[in-house]
Parts: sequence; C-alpha cells; structure tokens
Amino acid sequence: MENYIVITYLTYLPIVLIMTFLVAKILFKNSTVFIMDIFKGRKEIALPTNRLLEIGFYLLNIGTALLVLKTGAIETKQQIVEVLSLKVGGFSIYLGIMLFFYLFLFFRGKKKSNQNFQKLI
Amino acid sequence: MKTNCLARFKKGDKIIVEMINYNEISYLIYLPITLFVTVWVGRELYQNGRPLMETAFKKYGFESWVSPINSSLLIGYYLLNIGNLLIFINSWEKTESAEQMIKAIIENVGIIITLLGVIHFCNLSILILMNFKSNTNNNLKL
Repeated sequence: MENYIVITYLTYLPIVLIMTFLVAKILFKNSTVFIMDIFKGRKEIALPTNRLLEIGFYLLNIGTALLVLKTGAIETKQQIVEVLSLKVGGFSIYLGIMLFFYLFLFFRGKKKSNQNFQKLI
Repeated sequence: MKTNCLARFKKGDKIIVEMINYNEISYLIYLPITLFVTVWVGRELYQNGRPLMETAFKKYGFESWVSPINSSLLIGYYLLNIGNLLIFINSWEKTESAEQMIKAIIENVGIIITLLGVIHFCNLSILILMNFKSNTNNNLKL
C-alpha cells in the first residue's frame, strides 16, 4: 500500500536528521579541545579547521541517510516497524562508526603534531 | 497475515476475537527493556570509568582530553547499541502463542545484554592495558 510507504519515509527522515545534528553538535563542541591541542593553541587555524570537519561530517552523514531511503513494498503495520527499525538502526551504527573514525583522526593528529614538534627541536 | 488489531468488535454480533498479533506486543515489551538497560549501563560506565581514564591518559600526555573523550565515547556507545537492538527486531521469527512470545523476548534481551557485556569487557581491557604502561613516556609540556 502506498500510504504505508509515505508514513515510513516521513518518520524516517526527521529521526535521521535530528540524530545527525545532535551527534555533530556534541562531537564538535567537544572537539575544540582536541583541535586546539593539535594546533598548539593557534585559534585562527584551529577553529576554522574544526568548522570544516563539522561540515564534512554533516555532508557525509546526511548524504548517506538520504541515499538509503528507498524501501520495497510495505503491506502491514508490523512491516512498518520492522523496516523502520532496520533503517534507523543501521544508520545509527553507521553514525557510531563515523564518530569513532573522527576520534581516531583526532588522536592521530595529536601524535603527528607531537612528532613534528620534536623534529623542530 | 491480516491480523493487525487485538480484537475486532462487530455491531450486533457476538464479539469476534481475531488472532492476536503477538509480534507487535513483543516489540512493545522488548524495546523499553533493552533501551532502559542500554541507557542505564551507559550512565554507570560514564560515571565510573572516569578515574581509570584519567590515570591512563596521564601516561600518554592527554590530560585535557579526558572529559571530551568520555562524553564522545558515551554518544558512540549509545549509537552503536541502540542501532544494534533496533536491527535485532528484524530477525524476529513469527510468534503465534504467548509461550513463544515470552521465549522470543527473553532470548533477544539475553543476546543484547551479552553483547553489551562483550563490548564493555573490550573497552575495560583497553583502559587497563593503557594503565599498565610504564610512566616513561616523554610527553611534551608546552
């Protein structure tokens, strides 16, 4: 039934968008500490870099969320719950993996900046 | 297949109770239990893992990173586990009686809790291994 598919889409989209915005807000509020540490407290480079990383995070995740929107036929209400749970759950795991990937990037940046600093001395 | 409501009443007729869709009831019982367990365990780990993290990070020169990393880890933990338990709904067999429903709920809750335990153990072992490292790291103080 066409109606059920529209309901599924209209519940999927707000959930996914709100999730992305919340996660990005929390991650990039915290990451100012990391990025200031990596750039040795040079604010004029650190804060714009943080903002660029944030925009990249938004683009990647919202793009993926929209790409996996399409579903097959949905005939019962039970199927709505099942399809929605698969999609939202899969996106949530993807978002978690992206979050840990970003944390890994920050740790790597810290290591590299320390190495460069040692070389300069 | 078309058993979407618990009981259907017809006008001027005796009550016709159709087959109850046990799957929907079991989703409604399963989701609050697992969500509650996930959120509660996350909060406990967030509060009690902090001292361990502080001592471990001090050896690597990451003292100022403790509280941001801690909250990011909490968010990542919520995302992974809530995603996991939502995906588990999809692999639910069709349940036809109350006994099967109870069995399915208990099995799935058990799987989720075991997964939480395994993930928790991995995290803990990483932190403890970090604690074991000798304090000879030449961290840079600027």
